Amino acid sequence: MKRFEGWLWGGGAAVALFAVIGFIALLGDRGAAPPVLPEPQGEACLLEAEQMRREHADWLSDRMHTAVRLGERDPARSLQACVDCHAVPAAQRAPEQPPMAFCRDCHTYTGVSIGCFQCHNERPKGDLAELGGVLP
Amino acid sequence: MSEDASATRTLSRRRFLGRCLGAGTAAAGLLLAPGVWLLHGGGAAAAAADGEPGPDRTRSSPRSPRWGLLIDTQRCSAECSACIDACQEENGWPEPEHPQQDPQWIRKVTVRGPGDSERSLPMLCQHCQNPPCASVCPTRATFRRADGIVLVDKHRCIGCRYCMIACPFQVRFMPQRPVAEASPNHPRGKGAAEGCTLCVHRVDRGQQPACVERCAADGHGALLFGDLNDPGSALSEALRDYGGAPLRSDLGLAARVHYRGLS
Repeated sequence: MKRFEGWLWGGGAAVALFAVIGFIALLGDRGAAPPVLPEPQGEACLLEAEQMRREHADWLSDRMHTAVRLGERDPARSLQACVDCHAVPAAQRAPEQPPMAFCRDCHTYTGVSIGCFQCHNERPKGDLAELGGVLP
Repeated sequence: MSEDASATRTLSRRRFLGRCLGAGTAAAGLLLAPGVWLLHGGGAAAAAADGEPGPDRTRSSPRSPRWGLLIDTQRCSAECSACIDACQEENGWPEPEHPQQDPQWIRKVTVRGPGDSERSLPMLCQHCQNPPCASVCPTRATFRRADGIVLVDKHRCIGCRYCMIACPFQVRFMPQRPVAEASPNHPRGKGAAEGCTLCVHRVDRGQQPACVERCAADGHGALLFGDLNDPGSALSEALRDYGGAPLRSDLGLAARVHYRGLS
């Protein structure tokens, strides 16, 4: 048993250090309240909120593959459909608030970068109609 | 006797494991955390996503459409730019500041024939059957759909520009400056190759490409879109009756865009 004593002490110290660092990290998170997300325009989402929260990236990537590669488009499940429902309409938007604050606020809170709207348009259909179909 | 006993024990262990497996499957909805299941037996959403086992649309069959375009250069006028305007509005690419660099999915080209004859014609992706852009693409981002439309999967494109070099028609482009705001019809961004999609979003809805519609409405009716696999389509009939040939047929690309009135 004596042969392992040094190892036990070392292991114990590592676990203790891990616990202390974890505790300090949690202390730093105390003030971070989850963002209040804008209300969606539609009635119901395609999936349960919990499931969508975890699987929306895979879901979108799968839809993209089916639409682009196979040409099987499903407007109700497209990214544009997400935008049309979740974007804040131009009239209700605060200055400097992006249309898809719904996505962006949560991604900022969780610290996950969101690249979708670097290329995809984030304006809902209603917005575009107000602009007369011509982008600024 | 001892053999019998061990046989019974083996059997009972096997049965025990079988029961464990059965119980595990029965508890298929074992919840680890909200939304995270140890085993998930499909459910309505998964069934809807899978859908019916349909035909394999990655492979073309003789009955699947093969979209093509016929451009009548005798009708096309050098002053008209209806097709370009329509494409810019539909797909959201701006007027090029530097025509040698900036994307021009469709542009007017003047070709000189034998003698002094000059023809103006729109130049766009020729949607080859053997696209050199797709064969050089290192990530298979450029591909040909089963219906013959050559597209870029921008989520895979790494911006290497091989396709731009391989294309003999110079109709592959790369936005080199940040894109202001993409059209909802076509997401686009700096660093991903792009080119004419034959308005695939409209074709999948059963509509004609924007340039063809605008050319018929405001232009000179020089563009004809249709299914090359359907011998009864207006495009097949026009090709049969009046002829038309792809550009640079010597390259063996079997382009789907045909031009009439050159030669």
